Amino acid sequence: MKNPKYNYIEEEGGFVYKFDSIGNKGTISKVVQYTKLKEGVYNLAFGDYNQQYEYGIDDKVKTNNGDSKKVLITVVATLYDFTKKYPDMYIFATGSNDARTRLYRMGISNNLKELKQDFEVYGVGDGVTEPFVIGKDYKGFLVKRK
Amino acid sequence: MSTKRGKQSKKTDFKDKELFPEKVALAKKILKDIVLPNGIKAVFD
Repeated sequence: MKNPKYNYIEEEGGFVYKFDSIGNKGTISKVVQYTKLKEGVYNLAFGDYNQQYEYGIDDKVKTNNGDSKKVLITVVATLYDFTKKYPDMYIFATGSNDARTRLYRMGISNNLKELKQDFEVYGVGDGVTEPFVIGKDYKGFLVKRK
Repeated sequence: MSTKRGKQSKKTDFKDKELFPEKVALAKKILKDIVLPNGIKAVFD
């Protein structure tokens, strides 16, 4: 991946990654977590690390730090790292609301060619999973390392 | 170019904590009863 991304730190066990977003609102700590949903399926979630919140996480806040692309690229970088260690796992991701899910869909669409070099990419709709189709609405996304 | 510092893992207060319980619940709701690409049905406890 040639696009700029933030350095990240892998926490113990490799299921949590942390990095700092640096933008027009200053430095904001981010956390990415991979949570086991069932055998072979993990959920990818990320949000701001804020000690005011229980568990320190807020995944609904709209940071507006002016670096959303760099943040998403960093999250994808953790996906590469995680699936390198666990290549047989399906990773699911969705937004905390429809707008976020659309944002992720756009990110996948814009980078689908590159992603498909390394991942199987699927869209998840109403009761179905299918190979990701650009321009189609999905409720979430599944990827698996090739 | 970014440098991965991943191997500098450190003691954390995150270990074994579910940081995004709502997202996990949402994921299970969306994936419920869906047949994964490997043919396995996503059934959650």
